[in-house]
Amino acid sequence: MSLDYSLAANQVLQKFYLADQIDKLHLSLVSLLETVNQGEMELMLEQTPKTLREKVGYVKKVMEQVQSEELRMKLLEILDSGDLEFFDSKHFPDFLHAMQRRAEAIRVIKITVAIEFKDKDLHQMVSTLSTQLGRPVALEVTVDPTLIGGVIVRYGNYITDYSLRTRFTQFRSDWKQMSKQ
Amino acid sequence: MRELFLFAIGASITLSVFLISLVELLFTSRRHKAEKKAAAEVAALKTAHEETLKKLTEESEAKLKEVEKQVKAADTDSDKEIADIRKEYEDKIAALTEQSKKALAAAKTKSKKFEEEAKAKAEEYMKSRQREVEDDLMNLVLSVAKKVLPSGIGYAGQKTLVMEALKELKAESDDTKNPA
Repeated sequence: MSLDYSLAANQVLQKFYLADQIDKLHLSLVSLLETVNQGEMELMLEQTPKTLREKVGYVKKVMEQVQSEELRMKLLEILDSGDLEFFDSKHFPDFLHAMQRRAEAIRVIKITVAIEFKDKDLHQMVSTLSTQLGRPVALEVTVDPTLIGGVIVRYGNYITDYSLRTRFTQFRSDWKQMSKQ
Repeated sequence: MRELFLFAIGASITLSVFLISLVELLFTSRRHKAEKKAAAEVAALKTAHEETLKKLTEESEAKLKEVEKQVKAADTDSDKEIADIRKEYEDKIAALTEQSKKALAAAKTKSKKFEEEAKAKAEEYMKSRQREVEDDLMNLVLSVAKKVLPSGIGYAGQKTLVMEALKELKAESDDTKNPA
């Protein structure tokens, strides 16, 4: 095997930062594992009468059906590099399981923001959150202009509200409380 | 005759003188008796008078003593009465003074209470109005801020706000590793 599947898995996962991508990744991995478990790929790749081109064509056809764009691109990239061995029954399931384990470790953090942010900034937010929380995270972003600014973060059973709207409301409430005293 | 006559006349005169002397003597004797009797009577009367006088004097003295006693008693009673009246007067004056003091104090307290109540009401009203004005002002400021801020913050500002907020999550990060 010319490619380390663990490294490949990490490379693929670096591109995931949104919850939708993680959902699609999960579906894709389940679908690919099902295909592998059915033995169809193994049968095709181990058939000696089939030419390399036919085998690559089959694998390409299977990979093109992968829903997760990032995973599909990586798998096609590996395939294009000629590493057909990566897709055999000895290595490919390990890669898929490794991907699955890593995907399951990703925590989906729901954030609500006032404006729509660019992808590079969302990446930066994911990076910051991963550092802060000490684990890989993906974002589920909702845009709510009434927030005015700031962010509401939901993770697990916790909600942390850093929005300006809430700050204003709190400030108004504190002000009223203070003026009553 | 003449001599007889003279004699008769002389005898008559002598007899007359004798008679007169006799009468005089009789009268004198009677007078002496009467005087003696009168003196005795006078003495008796005097004694009686003196006794009566003495008795009267004693009675008078006794009466005087009695009167004196009564006067003294009356004096004592009147002193006591005066003292009682004075005490009663003083007590009444003291009670009235106390009552007036209490009434004055009560009036002062009431007046102070009214003043304080009025002051408190005025202060409460002022505070309430001040609160309303401040709340209105705050609402105005916040509504203006809400309208102005979204366009005023800009993309970079929004990003900074979010990034700053995400950096604050560190303190709670431990809970996310094993969420409930």
